[in-house]
Amino acid sequence: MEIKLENYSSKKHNILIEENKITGINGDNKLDFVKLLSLNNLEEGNIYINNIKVTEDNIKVLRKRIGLVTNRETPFYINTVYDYVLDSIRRDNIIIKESNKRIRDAFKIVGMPIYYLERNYYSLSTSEKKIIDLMIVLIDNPTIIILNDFFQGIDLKIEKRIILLLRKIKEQYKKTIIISDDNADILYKYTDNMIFIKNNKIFYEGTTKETYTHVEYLKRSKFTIPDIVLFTSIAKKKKNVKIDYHNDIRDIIKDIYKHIKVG
Amino acid sequence: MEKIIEIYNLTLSDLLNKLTISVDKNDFITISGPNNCGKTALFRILNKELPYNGKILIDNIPIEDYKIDDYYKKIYFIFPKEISFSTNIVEEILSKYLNKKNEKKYNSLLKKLELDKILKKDYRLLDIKNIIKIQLFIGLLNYNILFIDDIYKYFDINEAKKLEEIILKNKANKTIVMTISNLEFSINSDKLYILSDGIFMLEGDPKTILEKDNILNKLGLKVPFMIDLSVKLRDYDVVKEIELDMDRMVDKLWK
Repeated sequence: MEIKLENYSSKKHNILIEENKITGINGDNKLDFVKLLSLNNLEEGNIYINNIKVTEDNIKVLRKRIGLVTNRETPFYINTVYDYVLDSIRRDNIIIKESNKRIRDAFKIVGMPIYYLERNYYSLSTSEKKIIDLMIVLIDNPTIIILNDFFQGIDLKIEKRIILLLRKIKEQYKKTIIISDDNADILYKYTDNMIFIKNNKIFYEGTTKETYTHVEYLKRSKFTIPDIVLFTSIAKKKKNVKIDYHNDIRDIIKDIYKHIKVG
Repeated sequence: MEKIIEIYNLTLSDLLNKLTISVDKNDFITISGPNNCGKTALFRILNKELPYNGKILIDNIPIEDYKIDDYYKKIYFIFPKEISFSTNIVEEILSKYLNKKNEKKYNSLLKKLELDKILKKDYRLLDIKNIIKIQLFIGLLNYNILFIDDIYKYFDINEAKKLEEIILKNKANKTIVMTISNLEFSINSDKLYILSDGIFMLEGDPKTILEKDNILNKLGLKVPFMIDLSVKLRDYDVVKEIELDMDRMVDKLWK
């Protein structure tokens, strides 16, 4: 399922968020953009979900196709994971038929045993809590999943576990994934396409690999450049060396070693 | 050196196991570790929220012996998500900390943290970044012992570096203990502690600790890019020492 934005920001931009891809969002007003994509704010332009224009009449139905994963507050009255799940469903106004079956299915998708429902919520690790938050959104079976600042403060092991899970969800269950985050390293490493937002306007968009190579252009507008890209860019600019933009530090080391030996 | 924080054999169920640490007066130390290693729990104990076994002294006095008001006059905790003030307007909150002696610092911090732009706002309507800035303002202006719980994760790296600069410029005569999830922010501290399995697995000069990339990666911690690059290039005999500056590294590699 894809999202198309028409005439976004002063009728200047049409944007297509491709289905079955991971799209990254970065920039100063990314939260407003996330609200727009999750159909919580329709003030800017026209939005199409799989070529169906979002209107006041169909917004409730179409909103169910989009799951927004955010960092939730934990209410004091929560004890078990089941309490937390039910409370989240209630707060998100999700109305589900056969909710217990849907919850079981969602647990299966994220690869978490169902007995976790009985566990004390506060005894869960950070990665387990993150996976529960993702699972809650999957209960309503959305086709587009938006993760807003989901990677804040997590360590490498959890980052890798979540990315593996997102890739599985994308491939096996044909979901479109959108990651809105401040962390340029994560966006560069794991997304297929990027949208850069500045002053509530689309500043730049394209494939992740291509957009991030425009280092000076992005830097001038204060976007964060992943370290691995920045280093490669400095080497290219200062020394005119022909090294490639890589994702993995081991590849850049191979390139450096090759050039040092030759040079 | 005069010790200001002393913790001996601190134990908390499965999380902390006879943890021992002492912090010298006016030192700036950072504590990192994988998620759920007990970083925040350590602060929660110091904030008297969790029961524990062991001994904790602040300025040579066991924390149990402090009267509650005296304790919180001495130390300040920054837990970004938990805050409440007796008044709601930012200007009224901050001006309580203004006096004749600190006027210059008050105005300078106000500007540097860009709080001057939100003085008339209700703090309850502010985002987490501005709440952190308010807490940091109060801590840096008014306290000599600060415990700061992983604030940088709420900012993008450039914003976080600006905050770090403000903290470094204002840390004179302060003892700061800060938890971090991004190890890049340990480099300018006096000492880095890596907490894992209930103990400090590594402790010492940040650069020396950060060179132990194998151990840190196994713990799930990401080594800052320039240190990772330097260490790996050093293993290949391409460079001799750690270089944190990208331009200088490029110059060294391609002479």
